[in-house]
Formats: sequence, structure tokens, C-alpha cells
Amino acid sequence: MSKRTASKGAQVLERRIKSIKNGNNQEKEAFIRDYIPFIVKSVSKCIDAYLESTESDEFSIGLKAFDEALQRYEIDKGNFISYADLVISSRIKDYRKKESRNRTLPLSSFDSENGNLLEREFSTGDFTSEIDIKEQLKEFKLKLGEFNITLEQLLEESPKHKDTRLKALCIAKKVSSNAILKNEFLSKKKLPFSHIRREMQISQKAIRRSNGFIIAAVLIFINDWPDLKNQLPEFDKDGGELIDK
Amino acid sequence: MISKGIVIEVKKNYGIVLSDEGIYEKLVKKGSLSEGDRIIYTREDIYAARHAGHKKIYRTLVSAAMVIFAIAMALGFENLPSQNVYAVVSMDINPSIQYYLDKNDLVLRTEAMNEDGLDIVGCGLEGLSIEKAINRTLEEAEKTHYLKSDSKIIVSAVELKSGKLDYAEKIAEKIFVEPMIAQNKIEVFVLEVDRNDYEESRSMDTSLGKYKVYEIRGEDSSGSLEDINGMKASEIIEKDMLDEGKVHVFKNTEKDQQNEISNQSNNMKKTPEKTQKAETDEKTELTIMPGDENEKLSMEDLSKRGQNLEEVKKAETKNAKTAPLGNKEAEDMPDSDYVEDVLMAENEKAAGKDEFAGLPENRNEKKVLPNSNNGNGTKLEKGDSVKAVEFDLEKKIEKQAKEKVAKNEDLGKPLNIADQENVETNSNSGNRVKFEKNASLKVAESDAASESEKQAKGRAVENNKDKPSADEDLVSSSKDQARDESKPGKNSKTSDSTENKDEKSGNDKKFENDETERGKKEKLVAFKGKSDAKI
Repeated sequence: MSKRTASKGAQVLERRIKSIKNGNNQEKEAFIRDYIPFIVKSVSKCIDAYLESTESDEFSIGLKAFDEALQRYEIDKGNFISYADLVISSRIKDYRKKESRNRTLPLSSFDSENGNLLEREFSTGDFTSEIDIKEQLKEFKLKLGEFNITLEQLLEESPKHKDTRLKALCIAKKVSSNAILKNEFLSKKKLPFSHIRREMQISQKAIRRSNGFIIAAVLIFINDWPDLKNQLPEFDKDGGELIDK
Repeated sequence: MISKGIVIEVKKNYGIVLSDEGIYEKLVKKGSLSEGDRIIYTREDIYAARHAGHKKIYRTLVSAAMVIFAIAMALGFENLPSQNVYAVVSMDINPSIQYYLDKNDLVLRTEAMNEDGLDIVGCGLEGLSIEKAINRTLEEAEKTHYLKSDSKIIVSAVELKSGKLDYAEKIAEKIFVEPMIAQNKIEVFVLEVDRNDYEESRSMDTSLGKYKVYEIRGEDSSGSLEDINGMKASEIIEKDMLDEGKVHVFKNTEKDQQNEISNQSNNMKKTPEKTQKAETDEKTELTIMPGDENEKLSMEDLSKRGQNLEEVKKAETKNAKTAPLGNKEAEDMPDSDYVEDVLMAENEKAAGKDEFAGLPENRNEKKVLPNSNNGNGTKLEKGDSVKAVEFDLEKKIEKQAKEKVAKNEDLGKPLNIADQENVETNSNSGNRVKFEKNASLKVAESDAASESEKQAKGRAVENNKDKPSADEDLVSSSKDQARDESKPGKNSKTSDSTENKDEKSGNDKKFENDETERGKKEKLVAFKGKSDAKI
């Protein structure tokens, strides 16, 4: 969703809904896709917890409810968003009631055409890592501690800009894949600044600004914690080029 | 945009996630967020954004608190913790102080209600019982010279919680026995006020007591609140601004028989004051009498006044039946018995009126005496000057004599006598000035018995004449009268023995100075006028 003014947004919304009502399925799919954050937010608000994934039951119900709202909505009834929110929350409540009464209810009954599509779209693949994620996190924090890096530092030093972030990750990948740099990093407990500067023509200032973030990434790459590594963009084996996810 | 992330750590207020873009982010906590959870979240869940919101809320709260604080400052903090304040007592000397009391009549805090109050309020009154606090305040006031021996104080008390009206009485009983009040014989007037009065006084930013005075006076609207705020309690009391019909007043003077002397003096003081006012008026008129025309005019005025007075008196005499006995009774009257005194006083009143109606010649005679005999006149005045009260009474006699003169005018020979008197006073003037300056305490030993008798009569008459017109409260005034009159009565009996007089003069010493001074001034004015006339 791009930024729009409220009135313009309302106009666009109205036009899109009209189009969907007229049977434009493509538009409908795009519309739902656009509104997934809204559905997540709405469901999350209703269950007062974060959704685990887009494969969760609640999200499916949310999607279905949103679809239902889209079908039943009449333009002159008022704001679509609040109507959709209402429908979603009531469906979620219904589901929770049913769930508490009968836990054996098959959830696959909520499959819908669109839902399946979207679920596939947003699924993060398999999480069949054998190492318990908590163990990974424990190790990760331990290692960070060795490098005198706190989580708060990571929060601060995470490059907000995507390019900067990717560059930082790129450095981390190089350090972790280059044996000399990796050894220097592990023995000195700090980034090999001079080498990086020489090799990558990046100012020390820029590196220092993201020091903690890069160290964390190097640690993740070196230790190869699957769950954490899965969160980072993938690079090719040479550590140079970024492969789009 | 939605992001997927792994919860790395859960803190008290937020969770840290590593997003699928490799970013570490703070998220608001929702439900049972725990480490290792895989979650999907939106931009709106990011804690920083929410944190800003929190900051906004925090800022709003802080500013709201500031506003409340400011308002509290403006309204005065005493309004805030007032739930603990059980009762309020105010004291007005000239400094006005208010005490806020808890349930056990202990002072929670004090407040100076005017600038003078600030000088004495900070003497560690908190935590004391109210009576001790007042005692200490009075001590402080004495040190700072706000409290003088003749000061009177007004205390007001209100119980805020239950609004019981006997609270003032309770407070009165407590404070009347305090050493500063009991030993120094300070007159205390305790006013009974109610919660509304308190609220009003707060809104008008004045002490309870002064507000009450203002409220009582409000109907006459003869004094603004500012005027009253500027007045000393003594002034308020002396000007008789506390109408007991409108407010319940507890006085220590009424309760404490030991204070009779000061009580007496007080009564004596009150009485002459009223008459003095009238007298001053006349004297002032006299001072404007140098020319013959003026004289005539003012004499006419006087005559009118005399007429009026006479009419009033006559009307009153109709009610008086026990006329002739009164005088004798007054002479025989024992000094001690109150009830008798009261009765006597009433009789006396009647007698006085009757006598007044029937004794003009007698009076004239007396008045003529000084005319014809300078020596006598001087002596007479000397005798009077010994005792301030008597002195005043003498003045009253003089005044009455002048009224008589006016009356005589009615009878056809006014100017003669008026002139005569004028001349007389002029001729006397030298002597007068002397004695006035000396204010000698010696009794005129050679006073003829007959003369003092006359004097006594004159006084009795005088008192009677003044009282009914001035006092409405019969009981209190009759007490005053009784005491007043007991003196002349006694005096006439024992006028030949100087001892008695000396005793009295001792009693009267307290107010003597005041009174004689006032008397002197007025006499001097009169004298000036007269001497002018002579010239």
C-alpha cells in the first residue's frame, strides 16, 4: 500500500471494490493481497497475540472473513475497512468458541481458493530444523556476549535503509566465508576493518556504524544456525552476490 | 507490508525480533510472546512507533499534571488536602490567622489571612491543640506589639465535617482559660459561624471572623469588606459592629466573674463613648460660635436637638412609673447584687426620665453655680477629673446643661442663658486648662456635700438619659447601667470621704488615660472655640 491521502485512498478503495463486485477476480486477488497486513493486524488484535504464520488457522479465518466482507459489502453502507474488521473479529470469535467446544474440528474446512493461494505465497518454507530454536538463540546471545554486543545495540545498529543493510550483510558474508578474515574475526573478537576497507572500499565510519549488526550476521553465517540464517537474505557461495529471495 | 520474524528476546515492555529481512526490531508485546516464536507482524506492531505514542501520552499526562498543579497553585493548596481538615478557627487581632484543625482539634496548619498575620504565623503552631496554638499566637502577637493590654480579639470557629453549631462554644470554653487570655484579661469574642460562611470567606479571601462581621454589617452596607479587613478587632468590637441578634457571640467577659473589673471598665468605656460622640458634635458646633450670628444659628440647632431629645424622653417617661423612688434607690443601692442592679437600673432609668422632665430648674441651678462661682466650678471639675468616668459624666452633665439651655430657649429665654454659659466657660477656661493638663488625681476634698449630691443626681439623670436612646439590648445595657449608676449612687453617699474615691480611681486607672485624653482633647477644642468667642 502506497501512501495516499485519505480521500484519494477512499476513492481508490471504492473503485476497486466496484471492480471486484463486477466480477474482476484478478483485482480481487490483488486487493486481498494488498490488505493482508490489515487482515493480520485485525486478527492479531482480535486474538491479542501475534499470528505465528500465514498458515495459522486464525489467519485463514481472517482471510475468509475478509473475503466474505468483500462479498457482502455494499458501497453505500459505510466504511469498508471498519466493516471488514467487524466481520473478521466476529468470525474469529465464532471460531474460538467452536474451538473451545470441539477441539477436533478439522481446520481444513476453512480452505478457500484465495486463501490457499495466499498461504502458499506467504509460507516461509519448511521449519524442520533439528536444533531447537531456543538453543540457537541461547548460543547466539552467548556469542554476542563474547563480542560485547547487546541486543539493544543490535536494535540501534540495524541499518534502516535496505541497501545499507544488504551491504552490511554482504560484508558479513565475505568475512564468514573467507578463512583468513574469519580467523582474524574470531581471534580478535572484532571485525577486520582494514581488510574490509581495502577489499570493499567501504569507509570505516560506515562499518563502525553497523558494527554490531555485521558481527551478529557474521556469527549467524559462521555458526550456521538454520532458523536465524533463514531470516537473512541468501548469498551465493562466493559471498559476493546477493541472490534475491 | 507484513514481516515474519523470530522472537529473539522478550523484555518487560517489548520483544526483540529478527525479521526475515535481517533487521532487529522491537515489537510491542501481545499475548504470551516468548523466545523462539515465529510471528508475523505489521508496521503497526513495531514498538518504536508505539513508543512514540507512549511518549505522546506521557507528555500529555505530564502537561495535564502541570495544569492541575498550576490550578492548585492558583486556588491555594489548602483546598486540596482539605479532606483532612475537620474544623477551622480564625483569630483576628489585627493580624488575622486561620487555624485548620484535625478531628482532635490539633492544628494541621495555619494561614495568615493578612499581611500582619505573616509576622506572627510562623511560630510553630502546627501540631498544637487549638487553645495552645491561640495562646502561643497571642504571646507572639504581644512580642510583636500587635497585642496590647486593651486589645480585644475575635475568634470564629466552624466545624466543617458535621457542621455542628456548638463547636464555637466548645472552642470558646477551651480558649477562655488559656493564660494569655485569662491572666491578661483580654476580651475575646467567639463568633459562631457555619460552613457557608467559611466557603464565602474563602472565596472573598478574608478571615472567617472578618467575613462574619462583614456579613452582619452587609445589610447596612455601611462598611466595605476592605474597611473591615483594615480594622482591628478592638475597633470592630468597640464600634459595636457585632450585632448579637445576627450572630451568636460567646464572650469571656460574660462568663468570667473575676473579670468584673475589666468588664466594668469596658462598660464604662462603651457608655461614654456613645455620649461622647454626641457631645463632640455639640462641642464642634460650639467651636463655630465666635460670631453672634453663628451663635444664634447654632443655638437654634441646639434647641432643635434639645426639643427632639426632650420629645423622645417624654415619650419614654410615659412608660416609667416608678419615678420618684428611683433616685433614692440609686443612692442606697448595694454594689454587689446583680439582679437588684438590673432592676434598679430600670427603675433608675424611669426615675431619670422623670427627674429629667421635672428637674430642669434644679439643673439650671447647678449649671448656674459655676457661672456664679468660678471656684466651685473648678473644684467640681477637679473632682471629676480624678475619675475618668466621672469626668466624662461631668461632660455629659455639661452637655445636658446645654441641652437644657436649648430647652430654656424654648421657654423663652434661650439666648441669655446660652450667652451666660458661654461667658461662664470662658471665665473658667484658665482653670480648666490647668487641671486638664495636670489631670490631677487628687480629690477635691473641700467639695460640698450638697454639690456632690447634685452631681450624683445629675449623673444618674445623665446615665438614664443616655442609655435608653443608645442601647437596645435591655439586659446587657441595664447591667452596664446598674454598674454605672452604682457609682454615682455610692459616690453621693460617701462623697465626703476621699478614700472611697481613691479606691475607685485605682479601679478606673486602666481606662483613665484613654478617657481623660479623649476628654482633654475635646475640652481643648471646646475651650479654643470659647476663647475665640471671647476674643
